[in-house]
Amino acid sequence: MSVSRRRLLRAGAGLTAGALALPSWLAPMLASAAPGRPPRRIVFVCHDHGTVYDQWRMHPPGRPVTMDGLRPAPDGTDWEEPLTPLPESAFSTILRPLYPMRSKMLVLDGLAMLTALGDRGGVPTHPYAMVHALTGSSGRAVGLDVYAEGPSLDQLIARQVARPDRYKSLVLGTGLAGPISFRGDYIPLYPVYDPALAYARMFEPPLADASREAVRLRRSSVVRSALAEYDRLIPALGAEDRRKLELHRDLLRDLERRVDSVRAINCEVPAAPAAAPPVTELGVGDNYLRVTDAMLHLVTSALACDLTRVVTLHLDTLPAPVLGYEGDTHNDYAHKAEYQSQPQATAFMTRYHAYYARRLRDLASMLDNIPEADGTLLDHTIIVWMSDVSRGIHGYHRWPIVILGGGGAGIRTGRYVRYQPRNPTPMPRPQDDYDPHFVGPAHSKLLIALAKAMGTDIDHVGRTSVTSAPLEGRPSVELDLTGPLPGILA
Amino acid sequence: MALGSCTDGVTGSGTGSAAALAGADPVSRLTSQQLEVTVFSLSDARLSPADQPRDPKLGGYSTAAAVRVPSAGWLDDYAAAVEAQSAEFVRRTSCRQEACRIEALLSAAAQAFRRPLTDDERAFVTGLYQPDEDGPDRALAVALATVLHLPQALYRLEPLAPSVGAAAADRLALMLWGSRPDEALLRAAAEGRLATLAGVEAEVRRMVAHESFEMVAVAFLRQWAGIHHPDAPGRDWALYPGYETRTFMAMADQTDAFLTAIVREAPTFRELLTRSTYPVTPELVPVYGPEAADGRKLMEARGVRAGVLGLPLFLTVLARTKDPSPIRRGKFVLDKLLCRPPLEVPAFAPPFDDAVPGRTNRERTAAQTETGVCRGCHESINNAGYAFESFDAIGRHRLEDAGLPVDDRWILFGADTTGEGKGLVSLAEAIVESPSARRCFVDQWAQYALGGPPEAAHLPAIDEAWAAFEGSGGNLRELVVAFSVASLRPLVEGR
Repeated sequence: MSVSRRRLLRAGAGLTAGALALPSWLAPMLASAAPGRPPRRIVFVCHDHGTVYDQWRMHPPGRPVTMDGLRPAPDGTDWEEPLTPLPESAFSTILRPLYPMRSKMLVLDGLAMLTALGDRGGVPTHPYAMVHALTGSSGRAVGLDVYAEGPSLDQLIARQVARPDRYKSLVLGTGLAGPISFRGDYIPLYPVYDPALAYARMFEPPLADASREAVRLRRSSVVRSALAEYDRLIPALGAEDRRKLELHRDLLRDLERRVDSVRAINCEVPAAPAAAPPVTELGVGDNYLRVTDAMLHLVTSALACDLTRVVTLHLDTLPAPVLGYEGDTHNDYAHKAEYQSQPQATAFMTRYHAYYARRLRDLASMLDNIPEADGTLLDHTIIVWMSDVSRGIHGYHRWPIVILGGGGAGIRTGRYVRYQPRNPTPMPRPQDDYDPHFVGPAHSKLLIALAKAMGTDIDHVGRTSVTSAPLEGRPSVELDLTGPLPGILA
Repeated sequence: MALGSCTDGVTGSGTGSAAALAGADPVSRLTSQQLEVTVFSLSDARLSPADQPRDPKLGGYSTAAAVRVPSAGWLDDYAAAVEAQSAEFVRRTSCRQEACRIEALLSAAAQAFRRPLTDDERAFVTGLYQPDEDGPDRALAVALATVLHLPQALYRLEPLAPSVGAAAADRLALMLWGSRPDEALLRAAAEGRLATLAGVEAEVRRMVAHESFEMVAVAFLRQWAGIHHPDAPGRDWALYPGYETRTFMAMADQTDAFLTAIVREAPTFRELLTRSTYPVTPELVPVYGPEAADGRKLMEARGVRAGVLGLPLFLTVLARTKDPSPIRRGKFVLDKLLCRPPLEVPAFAPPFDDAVPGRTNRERTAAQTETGVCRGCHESINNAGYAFESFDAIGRHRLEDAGLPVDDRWILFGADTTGEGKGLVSLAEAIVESPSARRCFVDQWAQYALGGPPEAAHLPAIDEAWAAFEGSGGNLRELVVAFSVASLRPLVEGR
């Protein structure tokens, strides 16, 4: 059993984009590597700048091309289209790279971040969007970042599904993307940006130094002694101070639990990836691709070795030179995309999002090449491709979501679902040419559906309701944010 | 075995006293920068910074307590760094006898705790050394690793400090030196001299005259100016030939040298904003021209550049790929110099378009942001930022933009800063003369020193610091002395 895992990980480590598929001959051995019912896992992959909606959405034959109504609410109905029978040409430019995965793919078109639209006037900015994306709650600014009031979905799920002796979750990233994962109480979880550092944390390479090895071997007793001191000091502190040390103590306790268990994992470590280049050189040569691929391989390894069941991967802005363009992605392209006067920006951002589609396909393919029980690792892993805002010029409506895998967790894949905008917006002063008066279903409900798919009892994420704005004589109504989005789960 | 509570006094107590110290600061973890000189610098054993845990990189001040919340990842890194540091410590020790090893361990624990050990702590730490199980070297490493995981090493535990003196010494050392107290400060605490404000002031004055303060002051000034370890921005190569990453690195070195000289020679608000001599190296030829090629030297820019605002690093960071950004530069003036931050950019704001008709950068900026609803904010932002128009996107001085004379007339709105002028030098002069700008600078130091935005309870200390700042001609050292002493008042007076 361990041999097959070892081979698997070696096969999957340190490869370049052209060599992502894993050998199928591993199948028989891997099938026996995970006896019993496989665990469910979830991976959130996030990057910024939403999408270019017209290049992302699909127009299956015979389906209406509807526009979001500024006012009044449109009377169209939601529709869904099976993806499997569609030809590749029916896929949009941005989603086309995912065509090979269509039977294990669910596209959700038309969701809206209602909690964000109802927060701070609904003005979309990246840091607040990152907060709302996975927490459904507001936050407060700290420096250039914003810390969420409530916990993010990955952490909520991790609390219920994590093995006590493994990592509750892994929060990885590239570049210096801000936090999207939060413990709650305004505590951010910053991603590990360096594949080499992430690798060291995950696999603890062997040490040549005897003294250092001795400390590691005795880490659990070291930690136990320190824990006793935390326990002794905490009661003497006031409530706020106590909370800080309790949090540290609990993390130490997790560390103690993990130490022996992780070492005993029957899964040999893969080859170590190279360290990340300086952030300033992420756009040089193939650096961005190399770092991103290294992270995708680490995610695959972590899931295959059952080091964790929850991963959040936050990819920093793709530098323009990677796609052969000059300038700054954020200001020169993202903010200009979709303006008729800026075709080059729209073209660039379309390529930008298609690039991420290819990375998602790579990750899904790797997981799909790892047999597990009666299916593959992908069948028991839900990959959620998401963004902070909806589009390059920000926005909280038509939040683009693609889910890959998770069929074994009850996700109804192989479909494209279009939701009509029926919820009156909570945004008090929508800009007519930019923010509609009516938006689609709450993204909070998708978060709940994902939590349900992971087998948790979570029934709300962040706010439980939000109030619509009284626009043009329409009274405010309370919009319920509890319960899962219908139609996601079988 | 655990550390017990026991006697009082700076060397005589555990940290388990029943009553919290009145006037104490909340518990906070040391920053990674502070741990570098406490936990990871024990006698001769210094762990490479690359092997140490890092706090998240954020905007604002690196001291912000908010960046130091515990996380599993950080703790993993810390545990790995502790292993490495313990091994390094063992490698460096020359002790062969058990008694010597134990003394070395006790000494390291005292350095990590940033104070002498109590009797209970000595007994506890001694008991951690178990050579029978692992052999002497490994036992020493395991014992030290345990010490470095204790809350006394990782946290400022002021509410549980054994005495006012102990708490004051620790706070002052971390605030003013980013490090542990030296022997003199510990002696002052042990002798009760830090239990009076006069005694505190005497020590603070000694500390701000020490070279360790220079590093803290420069770190603060870089962060205040928004140029603390910035990323090198890309530039249009056609417009800025010769500009490379090493040019940017040379700008950063120049900034350090410039700020260090001010802190060392004349740390006044005026000097900070108006000094016109800049250290220049050959790597800065793309900015200063061939004149800079001639080795290291000081270049005079009187009437052209003004203090921090004239540093190429500052001007480059606040610019776009091709053009300077009056918006970013103006926002800095309002936010950091006048403490009147403008509103966030609304989502409906259209993107800045370099191709919009307009002959100069100023005209393009005005055409896109000084009409309609945008004008409400941009009138004040842009008109402050236009003062920098005679500096391009890498901080080169220019007299023309697109073949036309540069228009660097500026206007400041609001209270005592209302006025207008032309060029960077006159803007800097107006800010130096503005009491509200000087007060803003005092607030910025308070925010840095406190590790977060000041609260109402801190206002008396800030007021005292401002009075001292004003009375000393805007001297940073006097500001720091006054703020340090005043912020310790609740602790010293026990309220």
